[in-house]
Amino acid sequence: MRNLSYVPGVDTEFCEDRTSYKASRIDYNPLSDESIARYRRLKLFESASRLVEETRIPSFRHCEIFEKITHGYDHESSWWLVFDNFRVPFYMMEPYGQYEFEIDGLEYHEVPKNIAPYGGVNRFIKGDRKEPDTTSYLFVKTAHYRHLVDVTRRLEATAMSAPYFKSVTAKDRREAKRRVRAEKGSILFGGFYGT
Amino acid sequence: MEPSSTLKSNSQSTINIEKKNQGQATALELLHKYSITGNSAELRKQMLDDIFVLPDIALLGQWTTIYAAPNTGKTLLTLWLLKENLLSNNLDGDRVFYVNADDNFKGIVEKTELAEQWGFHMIAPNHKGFSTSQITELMVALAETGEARGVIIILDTLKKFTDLMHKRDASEFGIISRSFISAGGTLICLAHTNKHKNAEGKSIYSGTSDIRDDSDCAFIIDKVEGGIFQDEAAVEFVNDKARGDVADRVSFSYSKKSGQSYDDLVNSVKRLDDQKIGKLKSDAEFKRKLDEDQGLIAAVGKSIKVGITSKAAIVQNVSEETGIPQNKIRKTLIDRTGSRYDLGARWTVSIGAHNKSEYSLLEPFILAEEGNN
Repeated sequence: MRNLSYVPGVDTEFCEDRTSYKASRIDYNPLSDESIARYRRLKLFESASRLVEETRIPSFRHCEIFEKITHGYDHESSWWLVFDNFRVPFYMMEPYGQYEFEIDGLEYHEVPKNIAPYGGVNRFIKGDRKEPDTTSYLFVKTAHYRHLVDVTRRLEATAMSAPYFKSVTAKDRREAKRRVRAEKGSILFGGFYGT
Repeated sequence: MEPSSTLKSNSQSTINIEKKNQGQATALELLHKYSITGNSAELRKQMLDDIFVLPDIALLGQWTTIYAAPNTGKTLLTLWLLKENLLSNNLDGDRVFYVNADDNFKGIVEKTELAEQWGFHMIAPNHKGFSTSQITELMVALAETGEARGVIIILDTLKKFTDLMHKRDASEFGIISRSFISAGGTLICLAHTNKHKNAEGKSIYSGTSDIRDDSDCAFIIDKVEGGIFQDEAAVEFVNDKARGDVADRVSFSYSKKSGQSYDDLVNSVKRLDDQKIGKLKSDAEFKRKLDEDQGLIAAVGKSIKVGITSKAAIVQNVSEETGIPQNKIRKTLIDRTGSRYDLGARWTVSIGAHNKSEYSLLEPFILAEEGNN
């Protein structure tokens, strides 16, 4: 087994703030159809899964998961399922394509395509599609598999009534404008390289 | 100052000067360094809430030892209690490590399946390179690195990890366990009781008293004789030592049938309320007393059957035949007098002429005796 990169008692947990999923993957161009649909999927994902995003790094509990994963890293995010006495770490990766994982000590499920937050489309592949080109994988430690099953069940139930992954209605656009106006000043247009 | 004390003081100063020159701290400096006074706010933040690991039995951040005779159900009940807490999301299963060192291969497989289902870690000797001797090293390392906080280790059974009969071994294990607990860990040990019970018929822990003395909390599991049905067993956890708000007594029942899976056995566990366990215990006591009196009851019955029906004559006759002291016969005669056979009565009494007691057997007793013959 590979040793973890952090040293408990030496390294400080949660010492750095990272931008949120929304700030890094939606706010760079919040009024584009791609971002409006992504925001809708993100909100659906959050409400259905009841997961809460962890934006601070390093999170040792999440390190225990992602440092075991050997491939498929892209668009990663860290999440918690919060209970009264403890929190269960969930780690999400949303790479382009499909992957298979067999990792001792980890379990994973695929997020239903129409509510998978990233929902990326490969611009080099032309033509319309029913599903995104990215796949969202939710990982947990084996001891937390029961919680992953619960979360997946809730996501699948929500996905049944959720629209097509790229769906953007006029109402969604109006709400996006309203949201951007309300969040004016806190949105960093253009993402990391924006102004 | 006396010359000798001056000399002593000078040599002590020399030691301290040498230590200073070598960049080492003096003993007094070390004591100051180790003082935690002034760190209470930080320690309070790290303090674990009073959360039960095993409901009513074991608290988070404590060392609990559960003693029971073999085949009483200590593993079964520990797993069941753990399941209760895990499935109600009171406990993070990723921090629970059940070290199963008291099982055969089939048992390990069955219990590992349950661990996967409920979500906790199962560790077994000779699997994935683990050996029982490593557990104390791991506990020390967890305490030293600060990783012990929130970690729950369950040792089944304790004698596989230390020699309970050996005072020094048990004491050393106690020191290691205490350092693990002080660092925020939780330890639950399952251990055996003696073959022999105490004067009150209760089980007593096996080995030296060190483990019980060093534990924060100790429970002894006793089987309640009599049971509910033939295949159903009732057991009672009796608190022997407590630190924290644990229960004084908790009772459970489970049913053991041949050919049943371990999963079925776990699912058969039920919590018994005070009323039910009270009835079970009084039933068991009733049965025990009846068995104890059986010979005397038979002798009294025989006397009444042959026409010896007055109290004095029965006592005289039974005493001569069995050699049992007369006062004991008199007491049993009174105890077993009544009209309810199901409540232990075997004969009734009527007062005849000259205030003479006349005994006659209850009909169910006559039928039962005939059935036995």
